[in-house]
Amino acid sequence: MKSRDTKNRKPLTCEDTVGPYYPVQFLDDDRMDLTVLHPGLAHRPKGQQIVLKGRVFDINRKLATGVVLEFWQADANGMMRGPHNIGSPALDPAFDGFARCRVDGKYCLKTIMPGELAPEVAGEAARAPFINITIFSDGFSRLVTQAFFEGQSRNAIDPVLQAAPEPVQSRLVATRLNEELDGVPVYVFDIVLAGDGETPFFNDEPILEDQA
Amino acid sequence: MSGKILRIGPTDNTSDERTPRSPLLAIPKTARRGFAPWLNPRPASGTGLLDLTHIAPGKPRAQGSAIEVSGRISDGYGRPLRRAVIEVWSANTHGRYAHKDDQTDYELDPDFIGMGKLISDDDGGYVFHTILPGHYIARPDIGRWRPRHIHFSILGGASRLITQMYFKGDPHNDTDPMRILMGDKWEALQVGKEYATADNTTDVGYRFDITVAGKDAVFFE
Repeated sequence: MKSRDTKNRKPLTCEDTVGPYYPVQFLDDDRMDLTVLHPGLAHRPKGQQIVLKGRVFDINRKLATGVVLEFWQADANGMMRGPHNIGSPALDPAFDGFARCRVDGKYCLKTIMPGELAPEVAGEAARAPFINITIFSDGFSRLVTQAFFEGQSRNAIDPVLQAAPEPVQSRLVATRLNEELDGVPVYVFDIVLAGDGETPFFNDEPILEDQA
Repeated sequence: MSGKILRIGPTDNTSDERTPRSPLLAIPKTARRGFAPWLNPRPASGTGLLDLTHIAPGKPRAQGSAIEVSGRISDGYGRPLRRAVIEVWSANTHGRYAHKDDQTDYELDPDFIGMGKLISDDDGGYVFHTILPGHYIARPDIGRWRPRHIHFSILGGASRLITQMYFKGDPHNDTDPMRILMGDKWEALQVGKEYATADNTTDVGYRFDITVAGKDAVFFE
């Protein structure tokens, strides 16, 4: 990591709410099934297929309407795409890891269980399997959290999960249902935006060198 | 950085219902990667100017004042965000969105959709034509208006930004909850700067430069 002159940075454009009218047709090229890059292709990504589904609640435990959700995850090898690993043979070519949808409070993502992330960049910690979830909605600008998976041994030492106070850690862990969907294990991850049972969210603003 | 508490916009019920009350958790330095998607640059579109003032060739021009909007997207160090996906959407001249969820009584213009995608060029630049959006009353029960604004979503590299461009002189600017939350930064950062356009297809131009954090990109220099 190079030290930079942080004094001359340009001020960042302010984040603003997506509002209630994010155009539905903008999502036509996006998918909520990451187990195929395109329905016309025979290739399938490596790894155990899973379903991650859940609900998004407001402070009154009502389903939040018109919410845009974005999912970002590693492939089964634990490789999360980034500028540092372009062209790496360890990347699963049949998996891109990015999904998005606009929903009225209920989502369902078909994907594969992300692998455990090995440190790829100096100073990075190993990570338990997780799926990053970004939430846009009328009423706020942007929220980010990460969903972990019940039964993963590395949860106990994951730095992000462990950054949440112990009493609320379980809210970041998706629970496995007894039932399956077309033979695929189903995990449930509900998001409570505000109030009782509120999901822990993270501050991913860039850290400037002089604040780090 | 830790313990940031999100603020709730005044007179904004949805904000009250949906804004987390607990402080945002700090992310350990060893695990900053992965909070924003990193997406490859998109292929250049080659489709020319995004023109939202006509829904199809030969159709009448949309109602209202045609405007040009242009600018440059860069990170905090001035480096261009190349070939990123820019999504723009706005209300029509009457203040109505062509969106299924906008059930207000404002007039729907059959010749305006007001939603489009474009790709930034190799210098991070973008330009499109649209109609000056109208302001509208968002919450008639509490008299809350939204001033004229155009929504922008920027997706590319490791940046993830959704923002809005506002227009100087709108009578509802000063009471807008989001503008109030932004404080003094609003005028310098969020308002389009007026300029005269070169041809006569639009009435006026607005320059809106966007600076993205690049999120965790700073770790990969």
